[in-house]
Amino acid sequence: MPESSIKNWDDLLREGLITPPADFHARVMAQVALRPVSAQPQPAQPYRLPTATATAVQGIRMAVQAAALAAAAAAGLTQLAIFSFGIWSATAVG
Amino acid sequence: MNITKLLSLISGEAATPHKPDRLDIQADFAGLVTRFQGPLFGFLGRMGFGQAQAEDLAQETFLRAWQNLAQYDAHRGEFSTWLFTIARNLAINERSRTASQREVWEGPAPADTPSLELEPAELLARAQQREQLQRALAQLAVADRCVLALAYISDLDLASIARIEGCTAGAVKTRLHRARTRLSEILEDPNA
Repeated sequence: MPESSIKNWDDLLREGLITPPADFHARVMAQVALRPVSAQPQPAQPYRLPTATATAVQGIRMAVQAAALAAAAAAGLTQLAIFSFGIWSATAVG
Repeated sequence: MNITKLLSLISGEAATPHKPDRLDIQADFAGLVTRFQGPLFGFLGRMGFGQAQAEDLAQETFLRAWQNLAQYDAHRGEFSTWLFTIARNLAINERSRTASQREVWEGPAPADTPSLELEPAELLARAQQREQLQRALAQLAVADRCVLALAYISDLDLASIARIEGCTAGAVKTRLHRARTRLSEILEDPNA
């Protein structure tokens, strides 16, 4: 394609091919006047005081989490001990 | 129009002696509409929309921006980037919605204000070129067309386009190059 022709397309693309009509601004602002603007971010969920049941459930949940953590830690340490014993026995006995 | 001032009005942090009212905010938003309506129509035209569709989409873009103004975070990017992200998403949704239908160029835009400098023959030739270009743009893949349409907006740099498109600046360059090459091919040979 000739250089001048490419420049022509480039100019047309830069111009934008279509333009806003004369009354577009007024039309948009008329619609804006009818619609609310979200002036403030949406409020977070209202804070609720914990009930006795919620407190009990929370306590049980924390106890289960602590037990699971302790069990996982014990299993991990056992694995480490077995691995260390394996290394020791392979080197010392052999 | 100062977007920072507008946002401070919305959040109520403006150092104004009176409580900012809706009219203050509306007046400032009007400035934004004035500033961005031209580039927005340009973008929608390059996206292959006709005059009527572009008017609907541009109006919807501004109204969504207005209704979600409080969600705009100036620290995350320029207002233009945010606005054109809305416009881009609306345009792509509209394209997807009509994807099953055959994409038809609606016809030339209404004639520009007659220029005293241009001869009628020159005006006609320009209108034909514009129509041919619209048809060629309609043949590009939507993703490539979108990058090409954004690239001609002077308010947006490569990084902003990458943010709008959700990809890297390198990917934008690649897609832009591909879109230009394909557009040249189509314009050279419309049957390609």
